[in-house]
Amino acid sequence: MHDAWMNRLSEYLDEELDPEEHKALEEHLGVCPECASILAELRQVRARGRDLEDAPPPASLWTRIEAGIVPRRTIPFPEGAIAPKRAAESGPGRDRRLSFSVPQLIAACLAVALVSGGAVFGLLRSSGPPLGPLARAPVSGVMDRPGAPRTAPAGEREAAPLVPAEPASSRAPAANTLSESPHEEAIAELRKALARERDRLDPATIRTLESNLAIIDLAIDQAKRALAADPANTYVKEHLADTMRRKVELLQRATMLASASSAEGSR
Amino acid sequence: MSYSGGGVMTPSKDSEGTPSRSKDREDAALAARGDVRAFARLYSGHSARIFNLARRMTTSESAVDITQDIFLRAWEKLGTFRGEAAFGTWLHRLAVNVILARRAALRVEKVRFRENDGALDSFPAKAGSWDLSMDFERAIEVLPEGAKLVFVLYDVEGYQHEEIAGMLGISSGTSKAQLHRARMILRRHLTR
Repeated sequence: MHDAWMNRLSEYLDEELDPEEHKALEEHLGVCPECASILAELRQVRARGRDLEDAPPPASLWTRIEAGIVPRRTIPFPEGAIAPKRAAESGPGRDRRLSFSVPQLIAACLAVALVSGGAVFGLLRSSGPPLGPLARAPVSGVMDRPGAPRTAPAGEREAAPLVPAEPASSRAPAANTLSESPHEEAIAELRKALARERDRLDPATIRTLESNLAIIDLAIDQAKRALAADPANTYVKEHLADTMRRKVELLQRATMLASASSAEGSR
Repeated sequence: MSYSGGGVMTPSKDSEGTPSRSKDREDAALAARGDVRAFARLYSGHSARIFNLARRMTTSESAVDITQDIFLRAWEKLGTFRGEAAFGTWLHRLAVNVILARRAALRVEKVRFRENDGALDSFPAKAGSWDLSMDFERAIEVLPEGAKLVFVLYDVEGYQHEEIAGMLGISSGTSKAQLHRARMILRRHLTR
């Protein structure tokens, strides 16, 4: 029932045998109906594999991917800076369900928003005389479309900084002219991680998270506008970088808080 | 699905110098500079193939997550795409790497690991139903792991044994043996 040639039939079919073996097997097929029959079936199997149709992916997949990508930056994030988070994504813990509670999210994200907004307020104040609405107007207008009204929430301008701004002289100089970029990359990575875990989050939690992230982004945008108004101001650059760094740190804390909450909830 | 057959195969479905490949290269360059719409066009053109590759090499359940990971990884690595090969070829190879890495993780978790030639014995035989692609897809899904990988990469995706051996860290002879094993199992199911 089984001969040595039977195990070579696929190689024969795929023309993987050397010429001598190919010829010998061909002769064998002439006298062995069983091998000839199996060869015909293997040919059917191969043809079926080649002709498989590709089913379309779920329509929602692009939305998930789009949520995980952010506009590319010109300065790469330093290697290793986010390695622990990446390891966590691919490790066994990846399947752990995140259980952010809404109050936790609100507390963490609003704290970030306050810090970000406060830092902007602080840098605007410390870079010159106290700014009134008229004095702030050119800053807002730098990146706006002509004629577009500035609609920053009042809280962005009026919130007091939770962490007092350090004088520029006490810090290391900025590594490059876009010192906020590494933080933006880290924030993007955190957003990406959250996008990947979307299905594990409660819809109400997702809505709260997205809403608060939008508030935070507005605060960051305010800081960027300040930088756009005065690109050469090292102090402003460092304040922006600090603000973004605080956002990263607080988002990381929020993630840890969520993990702790998840572990607690599983007990 | 393009396939040159006769053991001279290419995993790429892109024809050299075609408008499609040229457009892909343009979109890849735009996406590498942060153009999400260009990346969406690339996704639209290649997502079905990548999704089905992931589905066949892993499971239907995990294919969506893996496809998402593949495209996110592609977005991150677009800067390394030089346009020397077709974008589809570049993406497909990246996809295989991501899938194999994910499979390694799954194996650590001891999820769905099979090395049983009789796996199809528990699969409901449907004599004469091979015209239904879904049956064949399901039969592939329950193949022993090694045989399934080689079958999908060789017969479905068109890689050569030397390439498969390199990807899987096996010898070319092992790749050939696993392919024959897969076909023989599928043949048995076909004739039941």
